[in-house]
Amino acid sequence: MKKIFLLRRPFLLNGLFLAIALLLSLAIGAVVIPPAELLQALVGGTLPATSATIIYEVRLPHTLLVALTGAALAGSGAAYQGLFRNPLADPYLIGVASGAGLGAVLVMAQSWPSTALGFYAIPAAAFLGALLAVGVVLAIARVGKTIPVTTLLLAGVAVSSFATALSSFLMLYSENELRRALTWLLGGATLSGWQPVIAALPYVVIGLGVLLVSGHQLNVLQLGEEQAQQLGLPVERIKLGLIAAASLAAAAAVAFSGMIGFIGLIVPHALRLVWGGDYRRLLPLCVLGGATALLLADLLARSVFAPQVLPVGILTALAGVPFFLWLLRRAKAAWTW
Amino acid sequence: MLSVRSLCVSYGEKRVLHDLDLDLAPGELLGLIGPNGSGKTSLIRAISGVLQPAAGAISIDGKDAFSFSEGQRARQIAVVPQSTLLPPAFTVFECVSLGRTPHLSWLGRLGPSDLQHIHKAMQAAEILHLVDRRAGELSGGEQQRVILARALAQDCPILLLDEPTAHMDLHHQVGLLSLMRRMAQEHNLAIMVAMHDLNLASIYAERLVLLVNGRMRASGTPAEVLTTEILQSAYQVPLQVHPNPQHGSPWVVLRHE
Repeated sequence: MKKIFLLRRPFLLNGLFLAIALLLSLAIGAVVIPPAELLQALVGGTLPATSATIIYEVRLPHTLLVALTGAALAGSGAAYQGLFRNPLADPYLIGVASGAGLGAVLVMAQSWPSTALGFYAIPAAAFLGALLAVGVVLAIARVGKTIPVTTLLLAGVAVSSFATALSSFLMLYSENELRRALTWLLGGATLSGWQPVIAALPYVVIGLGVLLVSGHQLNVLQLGEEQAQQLGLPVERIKLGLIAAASLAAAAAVAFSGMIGFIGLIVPHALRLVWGGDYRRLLPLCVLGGATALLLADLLARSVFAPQVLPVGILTALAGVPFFLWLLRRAKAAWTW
Repeated sequence: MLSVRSLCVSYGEKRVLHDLDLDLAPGELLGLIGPNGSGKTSLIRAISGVLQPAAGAISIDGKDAFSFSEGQRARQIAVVPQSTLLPPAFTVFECVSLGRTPHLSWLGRLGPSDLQHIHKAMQAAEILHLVDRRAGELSGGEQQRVILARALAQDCPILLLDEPTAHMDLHHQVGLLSLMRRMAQEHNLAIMVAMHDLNLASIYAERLVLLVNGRMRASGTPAEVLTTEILQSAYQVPLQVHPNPQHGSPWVVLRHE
């Protein structure tokens, strides 16, 4: 691989991408606001009144929520892959998604909420469902004081299937709301306004914060749990803490944006292919790259069939998978994972 | 000084080590030999703390090892495990630097003295030329030397090696064992090496412990342990022990029928 200047500065490059994605996300929509105007506003100028309303009331909170969601998904995906030393791991592996789905569908089945309070019942139920599912998986997988990875993954698959089956059952029973529930499950539920941003922010910040300072521990865990302990790591406590942190961030993302697939799988792998497996570098890159990727996917979802909005989860798969396969084919070396 | 008293280890119902007593003194290179499944790996795992013994005591410099935290134990005991599992995307330098973990803060930032330890360890393990290579590109023997360097970088008074020469060519087998002997003598390390090659064990170890079915079958100098009678009953193969024509140490030869 040719080492061009920006490749050697991964943070600068990915920061630049994120800045561009943020700007595009703010600028593009039903009304296009020229980026020049936005940049002026950024350095202290004022926006015209109509643009200001669009930006501050609609696009800025939406953009921030999308960025937070992407960062949370990619960051927790990378952490799960490292924790389980499994390239197939994604943020939903141990029950976050199916638990959130069940929580959300449970509330929707009660009747589609129309009041403001009812509206927030969905993300709240999804969040609780996600954490509850992870808790059940951890409790089942526990053997004495340890949580063996294989049992954890198997318990995750089992609990996920069970919760998904329950969700499907509930959805069939509440036919009228089927379409809306489906949209939610496809990752088309990004809420609008500032409240979801403020609600998701602490969980994402805490979850990602813990992961970001634990890169070294994840590096040591790559040697296997036994060797990690022989190098002085209290393996079980660290594993539990990191699972909790990653699940918290992923649960917040799912609760407020629905189930968005592939970001948590593709972004860490793509970045790992280019910049290697050191988690002290990989995790912050995933936070930047995940936000960028989801912002771009969301932009496409909003503009391809405008004024209709596609569920962004469909786009992350449609656009992400071919890109990922192309990357995978290009990296011939055996050390990609 | 490491001492093991009446150690019993079980996997579930199956007892793999019975009432084992063992001492390992600074400056000593102890060879641990025995057939497959005799308990060599279990002994190393129990001493390093990843396997909870069913009974018995392990102490380091008179202190109960079970009271140590993972970090404290990892500053006393470094292990070269049997598996050559290295994260393939990591460079050799990154792999070796992980050996400094017990001496680092949470964030894992390396200081100048850490870099010095890493450099010395890579030099000793003859892998300086591989420093920027990815672990996934290395041969089995090279990976084993990376793991050895990682253990050396850990800078512990006690070093336990579990068949460290399994994937190595003759040059590096001899290199590793003479390095271990030098490390024991010059740096006063206490080193225990589990190994299968009885003739290498005879040449390099000052003392041998022979395990059979989880019990100590014999212990002492190579001349005391490597006798025709003991080895035939332990390994169940026809063999003959001669004095090595060069330096008189026992020399084990298979008998062809």
